[in-house]
Amino acid sequence: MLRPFSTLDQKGEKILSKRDSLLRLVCKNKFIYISLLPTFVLLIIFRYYPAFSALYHSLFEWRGVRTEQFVGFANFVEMFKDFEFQTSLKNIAIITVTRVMISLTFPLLAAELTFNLRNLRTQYVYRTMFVVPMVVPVIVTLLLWGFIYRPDGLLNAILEALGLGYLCRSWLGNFNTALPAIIFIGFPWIAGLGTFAYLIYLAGLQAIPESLFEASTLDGATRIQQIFSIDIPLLMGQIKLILILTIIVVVQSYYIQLVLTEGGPGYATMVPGLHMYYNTFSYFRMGYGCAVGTFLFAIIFTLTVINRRYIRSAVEFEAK
Amino acid sequence: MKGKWIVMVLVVVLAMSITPGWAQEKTMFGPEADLKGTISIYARSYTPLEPTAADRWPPPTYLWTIIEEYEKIHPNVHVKIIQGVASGEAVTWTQTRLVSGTAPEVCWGQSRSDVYVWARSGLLVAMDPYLNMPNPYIPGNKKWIDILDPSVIATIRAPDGKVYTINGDLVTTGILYNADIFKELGLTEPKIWADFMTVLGKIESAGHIIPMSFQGAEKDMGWTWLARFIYYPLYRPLMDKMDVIPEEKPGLVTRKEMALAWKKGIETITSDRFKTGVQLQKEFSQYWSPGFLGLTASMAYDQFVTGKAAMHLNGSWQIQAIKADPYRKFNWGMFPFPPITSETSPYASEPGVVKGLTLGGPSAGFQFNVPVSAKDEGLLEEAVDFLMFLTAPQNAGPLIADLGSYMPSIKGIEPPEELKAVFYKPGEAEFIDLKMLSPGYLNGPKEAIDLCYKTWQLFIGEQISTEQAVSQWNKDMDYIWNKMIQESEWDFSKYGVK
Repeated sequence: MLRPFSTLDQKGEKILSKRDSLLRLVCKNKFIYISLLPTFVLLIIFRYYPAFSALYHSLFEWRGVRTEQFVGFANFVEMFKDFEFQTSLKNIAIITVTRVMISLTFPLLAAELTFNLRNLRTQYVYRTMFVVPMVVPVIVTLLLWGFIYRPDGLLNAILEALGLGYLCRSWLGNFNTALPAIIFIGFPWIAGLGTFAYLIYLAGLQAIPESLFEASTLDGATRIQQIFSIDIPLLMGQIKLILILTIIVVVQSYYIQLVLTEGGPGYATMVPGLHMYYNTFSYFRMGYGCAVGTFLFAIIFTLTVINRRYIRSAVEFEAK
Repeated sequence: MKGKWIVMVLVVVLAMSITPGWAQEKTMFGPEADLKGTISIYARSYTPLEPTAADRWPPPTYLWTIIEEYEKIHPNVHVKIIQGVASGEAVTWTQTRLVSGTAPEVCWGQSRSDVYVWARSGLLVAMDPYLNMPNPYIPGNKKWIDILDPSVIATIRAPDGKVYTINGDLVTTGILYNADIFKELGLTEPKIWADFMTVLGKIESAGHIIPMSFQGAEKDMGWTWLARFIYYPLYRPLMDKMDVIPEEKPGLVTRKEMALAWKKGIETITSDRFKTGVQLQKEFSQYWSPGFLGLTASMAYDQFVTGKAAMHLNGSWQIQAIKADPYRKFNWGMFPFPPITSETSPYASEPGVVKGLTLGGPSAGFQFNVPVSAKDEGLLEEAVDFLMFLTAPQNAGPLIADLGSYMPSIKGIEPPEELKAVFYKPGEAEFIDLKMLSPGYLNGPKEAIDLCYKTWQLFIGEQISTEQAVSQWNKDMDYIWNKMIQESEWDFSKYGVK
């Protein structure tokens, strides 16, 4: 039997069904929903549709708009057999682990140093100085690092000047140094995502009640002890957020390799994102590219779920 | 009776009024054609630019003149120039546009690599029917194809046998050298590989300069060139055995003939002939810039122009730059790549048989294609007509001269004087690409070329042995040729190959 839209309770009063209450809620807040509508439409067109399209096309031999042939999971099978893809997975694993370690330490260290400055004005100046590099376009930063690493670049010039000429090399052209050089880009890693992490950590530190510090000081805790016993446990919500964001950004990212190494020399700096880009836009193997993209999505999704489920924070910040 | 006459007269009048419309075939192309609409062109190197104070040499502008003249002839057609496509991203940009059906109606594309991929995906219009029509912008022309170089046409023909690209120029390459250093060390331009190695050795011994700035970080202008310079003289003696398909142009070993040679075991990667080439590349690499795998083409050029390297492999497009470069403080010259001869390997010919080598051919700026989307938009005739106008020698000649980087491949156009002086040394240079599309791994789809390149990087960077590299290339080659044979539906059964 179909459930009526609204029913009467035992006293004969009308009880609103869920649908009625939802409609009423929507009508009541129609301005908000109308305002949100363009955002949702754009999200669907530019985010959800391409994602679902990629999922669908990963099952096809697809070279663009004109030819497509259903191949089942053949693209995925080929992907896992592909030596370049296997190497790219190893590389991205190394990059992700180191980048996660970096974004959990260096921006936190910078935030702690800024937070512990006694003079508020000085704190403001340092905060501004850390944030200003954010406005420099990424491509400029990358080209600058390309100049630092080139065989006749800044790094080798410094090594020569210090009498360490025997260490000079083509940093991005050497099989042993290319990947570490890619990871080292952005040192001391406070720019870009690092700036964002820095600001999140700093905001978290500033939100810790002053009374906790005062009480622990009275108990004789040193500042270092306070960092490990108060700051870090209370920053776990932020740490978790940065962890998720870093994984998402790093696993997807390939722009550094695209600009500086093209994944080489050999496969030394190849990552799945770049492998996907080349297959899609250079080789026209769009079905295969979609399969790589789908796989990356699955990896990121799984890691995010694991992070949400198993890494618990001491304090979760909730919107009220 | 009178009424009958009236009816007959009316029929005759009516017939007369209709007949001219039937009898007179509609003019598709030329000044009389009824064309209208807006077409756009992505002209790559020929894209005109406004001169600025920062220019070290005048930018090309002549395409504006051509379009202005064309629009005078066809006032209902507007030709829009696509500006601002970064050259490094040109292929990706064009490819994306082609897929989405929004590519310019006349668009540049590298004829033997990208165009092959695009054509295979059904994104380009085959130009063959139009090439067999007269070009009305050239007085007395019977077929448009007659003004185009037959060797070029044979070279750019796609594996399916069709021509998709209208080509108007050739690119040439050579070794730029620091003439002051050559003079100081008493060196002369080497004519053969053995002499070349001697020259490199002497520069190395002098100790203060890199003998050759060579870039290994990008495949173009590095490995893709080197492979052809090395293998052409080694495989040249086999040309007669490879150039065997009568319907393919005689004198040029085409892609199809290369595939047949591979299947028949004439061109093999595991042969000593091929391995000789691998070893010679290794020998050559000892003279290259330190850390060459991290060196891009522009870095390699910088090393040369600032006097840090004595020689540098480059192309005709760099002539204007090197002439005007303020960092250059020396005299310079250019010579074709010295061929390997029997002095170095028994697989090569006697000295003098193979001339100095130059590369490129139809891979320059004047390589225009028409996407199928032009047909969908009803602009196919407009695009083809504009290309006919563009290739007419009175238009293409000044256009190519204005840029000053490439040789014309259209009959009736003289090359620019300064290019003639540098590159055209009569009897000294041989265009590899107009003779043989070698070696095989440069003819496959892009993904296969990239695979081979990565293997080369691993080999030359001493990460894998010669045997490992050869084994990998052999696998890649099998993949390339089998895929190409299958996709192109080539039947070699009459040559005894399944």
